[in-house]
Amino acid sequence: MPLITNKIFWVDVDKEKTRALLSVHGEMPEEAVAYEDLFADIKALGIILKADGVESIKAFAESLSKGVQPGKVQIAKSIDPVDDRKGRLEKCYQEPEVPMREASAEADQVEVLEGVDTQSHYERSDIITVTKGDILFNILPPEDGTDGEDVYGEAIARKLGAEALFDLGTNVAQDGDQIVATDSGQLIYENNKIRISSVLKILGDIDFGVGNVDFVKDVSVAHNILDLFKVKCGGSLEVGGLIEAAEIETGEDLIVIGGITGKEKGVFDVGRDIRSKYITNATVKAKNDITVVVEVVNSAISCGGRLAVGNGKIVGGHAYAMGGITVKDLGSEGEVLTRVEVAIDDSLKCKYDEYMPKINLNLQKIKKIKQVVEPLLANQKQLNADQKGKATELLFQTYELDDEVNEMVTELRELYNTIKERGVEEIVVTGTLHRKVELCFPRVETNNVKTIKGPVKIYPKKVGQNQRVVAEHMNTGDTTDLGAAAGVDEFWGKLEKLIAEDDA
Amino acid sequence: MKILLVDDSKTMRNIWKKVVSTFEPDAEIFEAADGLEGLAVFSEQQKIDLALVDWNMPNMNGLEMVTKVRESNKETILIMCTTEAEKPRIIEAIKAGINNYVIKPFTPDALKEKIQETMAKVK
Repeated sequence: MPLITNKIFWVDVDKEKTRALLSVHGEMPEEAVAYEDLFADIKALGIILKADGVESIKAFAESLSKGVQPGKVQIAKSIDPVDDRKGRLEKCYQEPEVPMREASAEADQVEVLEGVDTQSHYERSDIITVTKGDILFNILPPEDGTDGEDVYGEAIARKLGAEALFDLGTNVAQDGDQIVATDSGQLIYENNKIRISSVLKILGDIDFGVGNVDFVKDVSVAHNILDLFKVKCGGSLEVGGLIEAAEIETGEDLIVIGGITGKEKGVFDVGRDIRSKYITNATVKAKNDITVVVEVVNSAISCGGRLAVGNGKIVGGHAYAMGGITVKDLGSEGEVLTRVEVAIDDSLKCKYDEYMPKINLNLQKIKKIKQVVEPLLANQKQLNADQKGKATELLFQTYELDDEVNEMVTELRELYNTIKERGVEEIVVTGTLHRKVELCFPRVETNNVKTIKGPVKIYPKKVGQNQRVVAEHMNTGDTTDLGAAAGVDEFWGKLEKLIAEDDA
Repeated sequence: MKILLVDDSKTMRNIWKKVVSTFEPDAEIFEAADGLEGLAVFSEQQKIDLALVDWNMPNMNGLEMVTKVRESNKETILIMCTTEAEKPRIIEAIKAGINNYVIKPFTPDALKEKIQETMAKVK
C-alpha cells in the first residue's frame, strides 16, 4: 500500500499494517529536503513514529542532504499481540517416581553402591493410586495476553484463551475449581479424560515393566507375578497365571487360576479366603478358608478357617487349620514327613511361649515384694517416714506387676476362647492316609504309622483318662486307634490351669 | 480437670500420677517438688481442682503450703498424703484446710478410693 507524501517520497505499508517503509519516489529531489518537513508529512499519514522510526527518518534526510539516494528504511513496526494462555489442569497427585537406572537381567533385588543413589528396580511403577477425597487437579482459568498495535496505532486483537478441556469419567467430580476423587482407586488420565478405576488391571505379568504394586482396592493380573515382586492390595487379588516367589498381602481374597510356586521364598498374607490350583514351597497365611484343587506340597500353611484340598493331596511341610482339614490323600507313599494341625492357632503357642516366662517372673517378683512388705505393714507404728514411703512404693510395684500379668493372661484367654469357639477338631481324608503323617489336635497328637484307606474322619477321642487319635471310617463306622504321643497336652493343661487360676 | 501433685519424691509423684490416670485419664497434671513450687503452680494456674500434697518436704513443707493456699483459695480439694499418723498432727492439718488425708504406706486402691470419696463429698 504505497502512500505518497509530497510526491517525492513513498511510504509503503503492508496489507497487515505491520511495517512502514520510507523510500525515494523516482529521481532524487533536486532541492534540499528538510527533516522536519519529511517528519510532518509522514506524521500526517497517521503513522505512529517511535524513537527508532524518528532516527531512521533523520538518517534518511541526512543521506538526501549529502546527495546520496537512500534505500528503503523502516520507520514504523507493529507490536505483536500476545495470545491468552489456555485454561489447563494442574496436577495435584504424586506422579510415580522415574526409575534412576535401567533394569538389567542381572539386577539384584536392591542395588547398593556406596555413595550412589540407588533404587530397587522392583519399586518401579507407573501406577497412580489415589484415595477418596484426594484433590486430583486444580482447574486453572485462561490467562489474559495483550492486544498488539499496528503502525497506525490501532489494536491487533489477540487470540482469546479457551477454558481447560477435560472430561470427567467414573469416580471423579468437579468441586469448584478442583477435581476430586469420589472413590479410591487407580487414576487414569488419558486424552483429557479423567477417571478412577476401582480395579487395577495389569494386562500382562507383574515384572520389571510394572514394578511392585500397592493398591487400595482389587487387583487383577492377567498373567503371572514373577519372582521377588511385591503385591499389596486392600481388596482381592486375582491372578490369571502363576505366582512365583513373590510377596503378597491382600485385604480380601486371593484367587490364583494357575498356582503358587513359592520356591521357598514366596510369602502370602491374605485377609480372607485363598483359592489356588496348587501351592508348592510357599509360606501361606489366610484369615479364612484355603481351597486348593490339586496339591499342597512342602509348604507352611496357616489357615483361620478350613483347609480343603478335596481332590488332591497334602505332602510335606506343615499346615495349621483352625476349621479342620478335608483332603483326598494325606502324606505320600514315599513317606515324606507331613505335619497337620487342626483347631490350633499357632499364634496362641507363640504368645504362650513369649508370655509365660514374663508371667512367672512377675509372679516371683510379687511374691518377693510381699515377703518384704507384709511384715512392715504389720508394724506400721515402728516405721519411720522413709520406710513408710518405701513400703508405699513397693505396694505400688506389686500392683503394676500384677496388672502386667493380668494383661498377658487376658490376651491368652481371648486367643484360647477363639480357638474353643472356632476350632474344628477334625481331619477328613477321602483317599489315603499315608504313614509318617503327624496328626495334631489341641490335646493330643500322633505320628501315624498305618496306611489307611478312606474315607475316614480323624479326630481326638477320650479313652479312659487319656486322649487318643482315632480314624473313623465314614462308610462302615469302624474306628482305628492311631495312637497318642506322650506329654502333648501339657501345653493345654498349663494354659487352662493358668486361666482357671486367674478366673479364681 | 487440673491436678497438682506435690512431693519431693519423683517416684511417689509417678505413683500418684498413675493412680489418678485410672479414673481421670484426661486430667492435666502439674508436678511440684516442694511447697514453694506448689504455690507457684497455684499462682500460675487460674484453677487447680485437686492437689495431693506430701507433708515432709524441703524448702516449704506441705502443711505450710496448705495454710498459704487456703488464705485465698477455698475451692481446691486438698488431700494430704503423709507418714504423720498421730492424731494431733492430723488435726493440725485439718485445721490448716485439708479436705482429707491418706497415711503412708497405702495401696494404689486405697489412694484411689480416698480421692474419689473426697471428691464426691465436696461436690
